[in-house]
Amino acid sequence: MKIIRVILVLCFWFITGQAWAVEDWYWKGGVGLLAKGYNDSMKLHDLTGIGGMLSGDYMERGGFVASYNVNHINYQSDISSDPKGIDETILMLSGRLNFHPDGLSGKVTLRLDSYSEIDDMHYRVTGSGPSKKIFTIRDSVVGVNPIVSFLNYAKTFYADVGYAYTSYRSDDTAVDDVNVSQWTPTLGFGLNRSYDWLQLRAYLISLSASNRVAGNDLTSALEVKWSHWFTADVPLNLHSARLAAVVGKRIYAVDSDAGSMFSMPDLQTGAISIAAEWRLGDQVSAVLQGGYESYQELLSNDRYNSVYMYVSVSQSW
Amino acid sequence: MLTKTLFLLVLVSGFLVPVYASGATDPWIESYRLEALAQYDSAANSLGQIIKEQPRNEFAILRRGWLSYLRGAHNEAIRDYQRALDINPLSLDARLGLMLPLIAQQRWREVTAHASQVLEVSPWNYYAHVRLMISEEGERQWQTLARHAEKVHQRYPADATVLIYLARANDWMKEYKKARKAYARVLERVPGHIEAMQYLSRY
Repeated sequence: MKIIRVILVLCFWFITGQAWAVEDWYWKGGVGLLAKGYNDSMKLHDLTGIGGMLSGDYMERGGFVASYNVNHINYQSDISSDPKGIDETILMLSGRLNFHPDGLSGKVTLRLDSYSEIDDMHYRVTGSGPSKKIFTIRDSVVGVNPIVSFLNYAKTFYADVGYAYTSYRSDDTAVDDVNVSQWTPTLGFGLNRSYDWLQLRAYLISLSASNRVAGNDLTSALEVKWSHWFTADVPLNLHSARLAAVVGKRIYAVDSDAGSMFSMPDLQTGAISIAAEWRLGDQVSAVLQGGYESYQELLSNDRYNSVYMYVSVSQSW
Repeated sequence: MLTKTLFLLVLVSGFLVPVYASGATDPWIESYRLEALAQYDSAANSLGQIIKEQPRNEFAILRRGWLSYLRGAHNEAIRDYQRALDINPLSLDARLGLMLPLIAQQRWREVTAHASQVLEVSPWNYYAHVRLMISEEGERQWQTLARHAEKVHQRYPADATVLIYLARANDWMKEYKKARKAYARVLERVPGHIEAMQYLSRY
């Protein structure tokens, strides 16, 4: 929570340091729905989630993003030692400042993201049936993710370095806490007059010793994203499309593009996703994304995969 | 006799020194001379004394902003144009000038905001429209740009620059026939225009 206070202070400093005009703010708000099904997992069954976000940009000088997401994970009902389900509540606050140094032919952005997540794991005490008691164990996760980025004016080259520190604490004394450090060097290249964008991001994640992660202390992965923006005469009136893939292994990753944390203690061993964006008028857009992810449960070596669908609608004003 | 001569010399030199000084080191003349030699940094520095003595000299600040822009010191240019605007909030010169370094830094929203403020009081100001079109191109608002360029072309039918933006917007929207027509009109106004010639030879 201390981190969130720091972000709020920075936002307050940014807001009070400007000569404001209401019409100089650019706002965007949106809602999203997530549905995920797990295959071949001995524990997990499905996930559903809903979230909302609000972003504000003051001209090109800086801005903030706030998002709030609630997810519910259902476990396989026949395993009594596992939770019946998990309720995740995730708050993300992000602030950024843009600089245009004369010595560089591009824009430098300082960005600071913070995450606060509460995971309530609901256990069934004995037996089954609605009259049986359920108790809850809480996991608390906080994360901070500063990022320094550079984008050249020609929009053909992008680079950033991000560092994320996340801390997972459990009410359950049998579960060790774990601290996670993540470095994410990133390169991006604009092609075809920047209507195509290729982004490569390495995930270098180190974990503190914990019985959550079965001796894994280092993981690394490479994420490749290709985005294409359309101009005119587009099939289905698409505005943009994106294809992304992750190779390698990563755990407890923080994804700064999605503004999300992977809070499940399972090793992601690969992922692929495709997304499409439509413009529904001048100010409204819709995104549909589908993806496939493969995982390995570290303690049991259970290998499973998930298929998900995400849909969001946002409005700018 | 010697005393009298010395007195006269001192008297004459007292008149001559300021004349010499104002002739050789007039900061305005110096700044224009150095600008013509593309020594923008020195040209801006030559105005320093005026601005130091008259911190609210609007024109000196505007001119230093322009010279800073020319030498690529865009943040200094923004500061000076903003300062000139603070001194005279009605100044269209300052607002139009401010757009130049903002365009260089691709701060399209700020360019749009300043262009809109100029157009509020001067609806068909040519420079505001052209700079707004540059912003629309930067934001890739091709339909907006095409509509905008068409309207400005009606007011400035002899102008080639507006037609260039019209042609580019139509090209991006795959309206190739309209793009070719606009580039052909550019060549009528500026024979040998490189971009227009290259486009028309390709398509």
